This record gives sequence, structure tokens and C-alpha cells, in this order.
Amino acid sequence: MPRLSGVRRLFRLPRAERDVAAAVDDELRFHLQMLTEQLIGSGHAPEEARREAMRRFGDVDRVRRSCYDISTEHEASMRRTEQWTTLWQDVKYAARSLRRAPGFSLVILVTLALGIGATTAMFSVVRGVLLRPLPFPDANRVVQLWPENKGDNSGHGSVSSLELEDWRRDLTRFTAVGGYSAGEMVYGDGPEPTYVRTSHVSDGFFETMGAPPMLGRVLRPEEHVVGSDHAVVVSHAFWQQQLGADPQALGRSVRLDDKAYTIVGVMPPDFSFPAPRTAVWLSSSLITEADVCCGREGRWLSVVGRLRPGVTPEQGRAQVAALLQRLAETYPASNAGWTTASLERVRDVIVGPVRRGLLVLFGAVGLLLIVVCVNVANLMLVRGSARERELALRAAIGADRGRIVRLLLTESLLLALIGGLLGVLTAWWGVRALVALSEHFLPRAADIRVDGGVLTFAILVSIATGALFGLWPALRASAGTGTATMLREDARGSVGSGAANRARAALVTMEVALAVVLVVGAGLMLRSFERLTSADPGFRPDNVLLARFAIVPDPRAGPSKLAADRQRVVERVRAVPGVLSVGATKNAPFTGNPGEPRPFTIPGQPTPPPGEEPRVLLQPATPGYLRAMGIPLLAGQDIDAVYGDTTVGTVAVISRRMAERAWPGRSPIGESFVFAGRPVRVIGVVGDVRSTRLDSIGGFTAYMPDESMPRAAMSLIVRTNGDPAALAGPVRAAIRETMPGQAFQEVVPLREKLSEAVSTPRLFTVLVGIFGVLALALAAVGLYGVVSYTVRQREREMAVRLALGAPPSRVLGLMLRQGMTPVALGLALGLVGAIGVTRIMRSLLFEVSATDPATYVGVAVLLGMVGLLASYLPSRRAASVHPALTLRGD
Amino acid sequence: MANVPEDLDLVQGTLDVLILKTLSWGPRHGYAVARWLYDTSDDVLRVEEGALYPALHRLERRGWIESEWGLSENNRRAKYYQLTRQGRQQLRAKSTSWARYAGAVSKVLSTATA
Repeated sequence: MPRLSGVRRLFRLPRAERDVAAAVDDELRFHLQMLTEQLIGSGHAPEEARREAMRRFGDVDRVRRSCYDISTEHEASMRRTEQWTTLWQDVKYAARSLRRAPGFSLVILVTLALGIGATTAMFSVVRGVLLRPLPFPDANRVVQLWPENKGDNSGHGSVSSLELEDWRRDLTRFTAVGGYSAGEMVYGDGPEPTYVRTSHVSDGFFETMGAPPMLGRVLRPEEHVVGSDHAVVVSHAFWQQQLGADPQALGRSVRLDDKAYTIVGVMPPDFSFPAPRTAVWLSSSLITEADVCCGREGRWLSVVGRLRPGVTPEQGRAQVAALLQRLAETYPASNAGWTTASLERVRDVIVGPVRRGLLVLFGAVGLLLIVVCVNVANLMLVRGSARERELALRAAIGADRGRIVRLLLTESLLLALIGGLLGVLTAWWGVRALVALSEHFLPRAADIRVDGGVLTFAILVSIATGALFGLWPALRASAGTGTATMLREDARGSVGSGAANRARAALVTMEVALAVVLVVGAGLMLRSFERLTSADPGFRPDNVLLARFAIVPDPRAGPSKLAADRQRVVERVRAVPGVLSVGATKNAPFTGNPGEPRPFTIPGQPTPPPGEEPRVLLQPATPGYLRAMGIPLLAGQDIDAVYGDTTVGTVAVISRRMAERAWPGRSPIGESFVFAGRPVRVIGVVGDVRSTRLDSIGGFTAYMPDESMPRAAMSLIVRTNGDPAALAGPVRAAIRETMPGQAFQEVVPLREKLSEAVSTPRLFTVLVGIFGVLALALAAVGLYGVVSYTVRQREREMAVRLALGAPPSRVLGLMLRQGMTPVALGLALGLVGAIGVTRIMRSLLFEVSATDPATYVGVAVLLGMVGLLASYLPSRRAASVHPALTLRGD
Repeated sequence: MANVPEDLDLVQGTLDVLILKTLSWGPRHGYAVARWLYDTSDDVLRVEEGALYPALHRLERRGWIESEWGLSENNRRAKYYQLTRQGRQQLRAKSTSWARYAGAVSKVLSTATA
């Protein structure tokens, strides 16, 4: 018997279970027959012999069953081994053939790593920010509740402490309702005290959030009573960084704004509501300033609620609105006009502002991935043509079509998986860079990481990519290889099949079209960003240093002491060498919440119905503030002129918009408006200022002398004629000279605050820009590859043309035309596609239309030039072919 | 049918090594293995002949023997078994340990009777 076990097994395998059973039966029957015959031979009668054989054999059924089980298992395991062996062979073969073309493999791997890496990184961001559940149980029921007032268009109203009590008592469709107000407090009492983010919260806040503390407990109802409210809950980060992760931290004392508090709980790491990096939660009853604590006028608490199970958001909103109607009737003085409400899921409040942008980015990176696939498919096609003879040979020696497709697919998948692996490394690096860049402005940036889910995504994307770029070239390469002709055909002499060339041209068209869409998107973002950053903020932010801090008020002294302290600080800083002018306000533009606009009326003009009065933001300012900021005085006097003059009464300098709307067509100087029952005389008009966003001018503003400003928060504005950053040290020192041990929230050039305000659009613009440039580069590489391939194919034809007297310029034109046809087609398709796709970007664009003609024309020109260059370089070679040498080469 | 040991593991282990030994002289079918076993062991090691087949299949599953269909001496289709390289190694290892085992047992027994 010949022994060729490995090969023989392939043919011998009884594949079906039925075959296994039959083989066992045959074997046992043979044994019984032989035994019977032997017994007959030794003298037994046939019948007796059969009985004796059965007796000696034992239980035939049991033997058969057990043989059958063992064999079936054996077959199965052999089949598995065989499959693995084949797969392993395919992989080995694929790896070998990729190693044989290292340049080709490298280009593909780099392309894939970029595509899969970018996609995976963007997915990590989308997953962390948009998909990962919030750290509250049933987060979908946690909603933000906003009372609305027709005269106040901020849409994000708040309530007074007293009103919150009504809400908590009457809103039965919520299991809990609570209020909060975010701020900053000085932590520690050493030589370098720092500011930490704080949130004053009411009873019901923690119940609404529902997140259990990691250590200890949250605030109890009795700790929200004035006098016994010294308990605080701290964040995980605060516990780690300031308390050294002390497991005995509960009961420890912390000093905030020079008062002692006791820690009763530590929240889990991912809990940071209401603001990122909130470090301490304290009771809202600690705020005792007269203007907010006690009346109904002082609206300072934002409201959150937890919807009762089964209650829809609309039902919840309706109950709030009904309550507001009742309150407006009962307390017209404070509540008139506050009659409607809006409700928004906390998730939407947190991530809503970036959702659209992130989805657009994710879409853009998806397009980029398709460009990558198309590009790789193109390279595979080109390589497939180069391998036609090899594949034909395989087919000739008996490999069937399925086997060849599988081989080529294995190659693609192997490339895709290695590319995916490199992509994951790229993504890991990219995500770290992204988080580092964006952690200060992107909500939930801390939740972005490369985890199991992201890895799964990357693997699936790799496999899908491999199938996408591999399947078509594989089918093409394996199809229609008329074996004999292919082998006979002299590859050098052929012009290349028309179908293959058309396929490559189609891929280039697609690539160019997709690249156009991406580049148009990037162009629009770039133009919008340029508009945004060149928008006039209404003040001159250059050469200005901003110092933010709060003078800790002396409880025994009144507000006049504060004003005097402020004045001393301003005077001292003015003496610092290099300082041109100094002024202070409560919250300078772009430094956070500017405050609640207050309603006002104008004597002699018809009074609007209560609640619909115009509103004005009152901004306290020291003398010199408007000058230091560079806010232009348009008419009348600056507040400096009347500062300290007790005979002038209450005066204000108003913003231009307010002047134009409130006193249309005439000068407001000397006119008055009434705010909180107090007449205020207008002494000057200044320009409008963009105070929170560069893309919108806020409402009316009135600057008033700061003498009566009750709050200690302070934004010091220092104008110099040199580098403002260089003044940071001297200004700091000067302030500390006046206020020993003073802590600072920040001392930075004001320009930086403006730059921070556009961080999100900047990040999105940069990312879309990167994707656009990559797509453009890939399209150029793809085009270059295809044109050079065609040139190589038609070298002989060109040689003949040249030999017959065609001028080289004509040959060049011929090749260029062939390269530019798919580019022109792709450009046209891409521009049309971009008009359709960029519509979803409309809300991301500032002062730029999604169909901005300049952008489209610019992109068309850019793409055309890149296309021309990518086809010119290889075409030049066709024109410089040496006819004699080329033709003799055959 | 005397002397069927109670200990099944022993029977199985013994049967396995005897089959390997039988096949060490060349490929045979199951019936030939059975004949050779009973003829050479003077019927002492007799078990039901059917028990041979699960043992053969198990050895094949372990890769110690392999099988192939062929024609018997009287021109019938029969399944032939033969040792693999791995089976040969097993046989050597098992024979050695068997000899040592048997020697030890017989030594103990002879001491006890002395």
C-alpha cells in the first residue's frame, strides 16, 4: 500500500456522517463474516457458527455506537485541522506575495493605517462624548428645567431660592427637583492659595442626579439650613490631588474662601455636573448676600429635575409651565413674564453644542475611509493586472475560481488587518493628542479613550475595509482570465483590456469626487473660522493682560470697603512700569457668565406689559475700564468723568445698540432709564461688545461706576504697549503687595480668552482640514498611479506614434487627456455632491453660506491643478520615450 | 472467558499496547489483529472481540495508527490499520513501562509467597 498520508487523506475523507456510519458497519460486518467462515471451516454448522461468532463478538450495537462516536469526532477534528491548514497556507502565501512587492505593500499599509486610524480615533471621540452613558442612573430622565421670559432671550433662565421651594413642592411629575449655581472659591490658606470650581446646590440636587457617592454620603436635608451648612462633598479629582486620596478623608476639614468646611463625601471619578472639573459641592444656603438669598427677584439657581417613570418630557414641561403661570399671578412683582418653560435632557445640555460638529467630523472621516478603500482598491487593481499571468498559471494548473478569489481576498484581509493594527496605534496616539488638545473645552473629553469597544470597532472596520477594497479587484482578476490566451499573450505588447482601464478610471473618478466633497467641507470650515476670528469683538484685545481674582470680603465691613480695596489695587497696578491704563469690572468679556440682564423702562415712553420690558446687562466698571479695554466712546462722557462725584446720582454709559433702540433717532445723553425703581442717567455711549461668543453680539449693556458693586469677583484689565504676558509677574506682585496672600483665577493675555472662545470651531476646522488634505493627497497618488500605469502599458504605442512623426507635445496631450477625463468627471460629481452634503454643516458655519461660491471655485481650481500635476508627471515620460530603443526592446 | 480483569483502565491500556504491538509487524485489518492476539496469548487475555474496534478507532483518533481500505486475502473490502511514527514511539514507551511494571508486580508477588 502506498503511503502518502497527507495528500491521500484529502481524497479519502468520508465527508458526511452517513459515510462514517457505513464505514463502521462495513468493518464490523467483515469481522463477523470472517469469524463465521473460520468457525465453519473448523467444523461448525453454518447456523451454529454464526451464533458462536456473535457470542464471541459481544454486543454489536454497543460496539458500533462507540466506534461511530469516536470516528465522527475524529472526522470533525480532521476537517477543522484541514481548514486551519489551508487558511494558514493562504496566509503564508499572501504574506510572501506582499513581501515580494514591499513598496506596494508599504504604500497600502500607510494609507490604511491613516484611514483606519483616523476613523477609529474619531469613533473613540464620538463614543466617549456622545454614546457613553452619563454617570447618572437613568440619565435620560434627568432634565434641565428653564423658566423663560419673553423679554429675556437667553432661554436659560434661573429661579430664586424661594421659588425653588415652590418648584420642589409642586412638581409632582418629578421624583426630585434641585437647584445649583456654579462658581469658584479660593481653596487653602498657604502662600499660594488656588481657585477651585464649586457648585452651590440645593436640597434635591443629589437626589435628582442619583449618582451615589464613592465614599461617605451626599448632603442631608438638615445640612441645607443656614447655620448648620458646613458640610461639603468633593470630587474624585480633588480627593486625589488635594487630599492625597486619603481613605480617612471623611470628616477632614477644608478651607474655602477663608472658612472651614467638613468633607462628608467623595463623588465617583466621572461625576462632574454641572461643570467639568467641579471640585466641591456646597449647600446653596451658604449664599447669604442680600440681593439673592431672600427675595424672589434674585434669580441665581439653575434647576434640574428627575422625571417620574412613565412621565414624558412634554408632560413634565407642561407642569412646570402651569406652575409658572400660577406663580406669575401670585407674585407679579418678581414673576410677571416668566410664564413659559423649556426642558432639555441633561445629556443634550452637556453634549448638544458639539453633537452636530462631531457627527459631521465622523461623516468626514467616513468619507476619508472610503477614499482610502478606493485608493487601495485601485492599487490592487493595478497590481492585479501585473499578476494576471501568475493567476492564469494558477488557473491552468487546476485552481478553481473560488480558490483564487479566496487567495486574493486573504491578501486583502491580511493587509487590512495589519493596516488596522497600525491604525489602532495611530488612533491611540491620535486620541491622546486630541484629548490633550481639547480637554479644556470639549465636554466629556475625559471619557474619550481607546477601549474594548473601540478595538472591536477598529477590527470590524478593518475587515469591512479589506472586503471592500479586496473583493472587486479579486473578482476582476479571477474573472475572464481566458487562461490560454492570457498565457500566450505578450503582456508588453498589449494595450490593456478596455474593461480594466475603465474600472481604474471609475475608481479615480470616485476618489476625486469624494476628495472634492471633503475639501469643500474643509474650505467652508476654514473660511468660517477666518470670519469668526477676524470678527471685531468691539474692544481691542491685543496688548492687554487680564487678571481675574476675588477680593475676599471682610464680613464686618460693608461694600464700600470692597470698592476702596478695588480702587487701591487699580492704583497700585497703574504704577507698574509699562502699564498704559488699568480698569476693572466684575466679569470681563469671554471670562464666563456675564450675569442676568435686568428689565428696565424709559420714563415718557409707553410701558410694555410686565415681563416684556427690554433688558439690560449692568456691568460695573472702575474708571479706566473702558479705556483699558479699548471700547470706543461714541458720544458723551466716560464714567471716569463723574467717578466719585456724589452729586451726579446714578449714571451709566450705554452700548450703541441700546442707544439706538431705546432712543431711536436722537441722542440719549442726559436721558434716563429706570431700573429696579431707580432712575439712571445716561452720560455716554460706547461701542457694542461681543462678550460671550464671537459669533453674536449680546443684548444691551450699561456700564455703571462700581461703587455699589456688592460682589468681590474682579477682572482687572491692564493695557500695555508691549507683550502683555511679560507683565503677568509684575502685576501679580503689585496686587499681592496691596492684598497679601491674594489668590488668582488666572493672569493671562486677554487675546488668549478670545482664542479659547473659538477652541471648538478651531479643533473642528483643523480636523476637517486634515481629512481634506489627506483625501486630496490620496486622490493625487491614485491618479498618479493610474496614469503611470497607463503610460507604461502604452509605451510601445507612443513609440510608434513618435516614430511616425507625431510631435511629443501631441503624445503628451493624449496622455494628459486620458488622465484628466476622470478628474473632470469626479470634480463635477464632487461639486454637486458637496452642495448636497455640506448642507448639514450649515449650523457650524459663521457668516459663510454652505454654497459659498468662492470656496467651490477655489476647490475646483485646486483639484484641477493637483490633477493636472498628478497626470503631467507620468505623462511627460510617455512623450520622452525614445522610439528606437523602445521598439528594439521587443 | 476466564480472567477478565476488573480494572477497566488496565484492560484498555493493555489492549492498546497489544494492538500497537500487533501492528508493529505491518498493516493488518481488525480481524487479523484479533486472531493474532488470541492465538499468541493462548486465550489468556481473551476479551470480547468486539471490544477491539472501539480501541482501534480510539488509537486512530489519537493519531497513533492510521487506516486505509484495501482488499483482504480473500478479496473482500477490509479496513487496514498501520502504525504511525507517533504510534511507534508510543509502543516503545509503553513496552518499557509495561516491562518495568510487570517486573515490579511479579517481584512483589514472589517475595510474598517466599
